[in-house]
Amino acid sequence: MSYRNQSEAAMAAYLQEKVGVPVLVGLRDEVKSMPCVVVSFVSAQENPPESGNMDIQMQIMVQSQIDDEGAPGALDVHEATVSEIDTALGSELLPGINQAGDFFHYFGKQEQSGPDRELQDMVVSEMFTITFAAALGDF
Amino acid sequence: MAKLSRGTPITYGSIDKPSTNPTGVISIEIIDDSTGSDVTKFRGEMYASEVKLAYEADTNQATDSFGEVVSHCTYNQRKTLNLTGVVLSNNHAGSIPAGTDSTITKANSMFGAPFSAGMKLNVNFIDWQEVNSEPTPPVSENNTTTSNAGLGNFTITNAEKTRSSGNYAEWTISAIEYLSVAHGGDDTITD
Repeated sequence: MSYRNQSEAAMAAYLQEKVGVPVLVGLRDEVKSMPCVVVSFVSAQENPPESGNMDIQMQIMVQSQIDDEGAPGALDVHEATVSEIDTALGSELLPGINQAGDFFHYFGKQEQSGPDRELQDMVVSEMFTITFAAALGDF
Repeated sequence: MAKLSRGTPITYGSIDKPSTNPTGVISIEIIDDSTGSDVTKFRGEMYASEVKLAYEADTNQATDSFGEVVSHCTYNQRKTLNLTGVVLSNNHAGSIPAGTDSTITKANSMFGAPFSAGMKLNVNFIDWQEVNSEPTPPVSENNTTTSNAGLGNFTITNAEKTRSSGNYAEWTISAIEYLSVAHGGDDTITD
């Protein structure tokens, strides 16, 4: 598997344990129902050079529909999910992303920003951007 | 055809990648000989982000009554090696600290191997004869080929280990080798 697939799968599996809504990866073959969390790999840069280890940037987006067609209490669920993601991405808990046998290892966080809120057509999105050092391997 | 339109061989980067060392890793070994016999304190490898070699000497001048330098001499001729890089786990039978594991625990163990300034530093860097140790460079998991055509015989003068937030832990080692005044002689282990 590629860095993209492996890191999206690891992050999605980790966050799914922390939130009560579906966690989806960026490129998926299923219909998205909101509220949900979308995990997408943005880019990766090798560091140190020649090591095979990468500095990976990912975006984690919480999406909810808050009009009449949305789920009842969607805004409350949305706020709770954003809070759960915020906690899950904390330096204290994030090393829990390392699961035995998943051929993915998170070393440590470099940068985090967000949640940045966007409202469009009554769909509210809050996006976290995180950069961390990782390697494909089961260490 | 002009040379530049075809490309020109130039030394690139901290690590050449000949077939003997395709992973681009240098092996290093630190030996304590303060007790009269050699005790290896570290034998592992690093991704060297920078390898810097400097030639230095102290100088003295003789001046005439006008303050003009009429003669000078150099002494304490030496070369100084600075290594900066990330230390790896080294899954290798000869590893010190010992262990044939590719784990974070082993990497931490290698990073935390205790040593001191004043100990000998051997480096395996086939493509750089001035740095490569003489007579026997160390080998490691990702650097198993050696060359005996080395001129390196260094003693550590300064070492720093750095763990900072948001980055890989790193070693910085400075080492020195005093050189023979007689330049016609060999730069060997007996210097």
